[in-house]
Amino acid sequence: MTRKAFGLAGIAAVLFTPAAVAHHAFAMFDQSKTVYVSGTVKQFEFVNPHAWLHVAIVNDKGDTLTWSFEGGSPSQLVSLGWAPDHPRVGEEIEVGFRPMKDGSRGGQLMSVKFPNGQKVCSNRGCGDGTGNIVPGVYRPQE
Amino acid sequence: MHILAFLMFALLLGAGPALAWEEYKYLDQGVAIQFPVRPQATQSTYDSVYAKRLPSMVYSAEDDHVIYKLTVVDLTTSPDMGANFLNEAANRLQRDGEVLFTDFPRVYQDIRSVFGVSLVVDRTDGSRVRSSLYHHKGRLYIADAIVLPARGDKDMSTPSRYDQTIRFPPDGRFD
Repeated sequence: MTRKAFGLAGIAAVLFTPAAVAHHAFAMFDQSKTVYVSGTVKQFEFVNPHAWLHVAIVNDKGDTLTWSFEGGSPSQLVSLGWAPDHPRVGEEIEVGFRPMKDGSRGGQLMSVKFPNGQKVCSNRGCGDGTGNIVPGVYRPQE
Repeated sequence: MHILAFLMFALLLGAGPALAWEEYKYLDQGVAIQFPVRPQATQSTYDSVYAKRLPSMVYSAEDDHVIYKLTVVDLTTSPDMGANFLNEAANRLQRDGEVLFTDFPRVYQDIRSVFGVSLVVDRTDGSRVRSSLYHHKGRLYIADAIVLPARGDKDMSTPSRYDQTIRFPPDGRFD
């Protein structure tokens, strides 16, 4: 099977799964601001009901800690240019997110900016007030 | 042949579970929630100032020094006392240590909203617990994620992932 077929199969799998609608409010996130951090993709869980992006981020003390960001449903994200391998493990990215109110390391995933400057955004916009949503066609080199 | 392979692969992926976290449905308890590993179910009892030895179920799992625990308390013998049971449980939690955070989350939206309360507490035993409590249809639900002292890193966001996956089927989603 070609890589293209694998990619199509992945997207189809997401679309074949039951429709997922957010069943909880996003009150746990601070909706008043969007924060940006840069790090390396550790894992991207493209799962229902919500996708999770785990990123290794180096803090000001030089320690590498994992941050976890909650995104929309896979079916929503696919329509916005995201894919199971997009972002990809090992990629250096900048994450835009609305932080957790309780201070833990994570938040509501609003955007991911790739090394080439391209950005994919959440189903609730990019978090920067622009509302710009750019279909993601960027793929890292093997 | 390629089309057949494509469809088979797509169906396999689509039918597969989440990479780690999976939802466990307890329809007899009117609840579903995700765990990172398979939980154990235990029959238990729950004591309140209002009633002793209320029947309850506890679903619990430990992963990476974090205990994920859902307690379901049957309140059918006290149908008008739900708010008191919920607030009593929250009151107990806040007395366990230093309250770092309080919130009033909801499951579902608009007219279907089920509101609850969440607390993050640094306990005197060195653990940190994030609990979300809901009263719904004659039951008290307490979803705890307890970061044990051995975990060290208490600011991990995984505990908040746990309680927010709770839902109350049948609700038209994945049922």
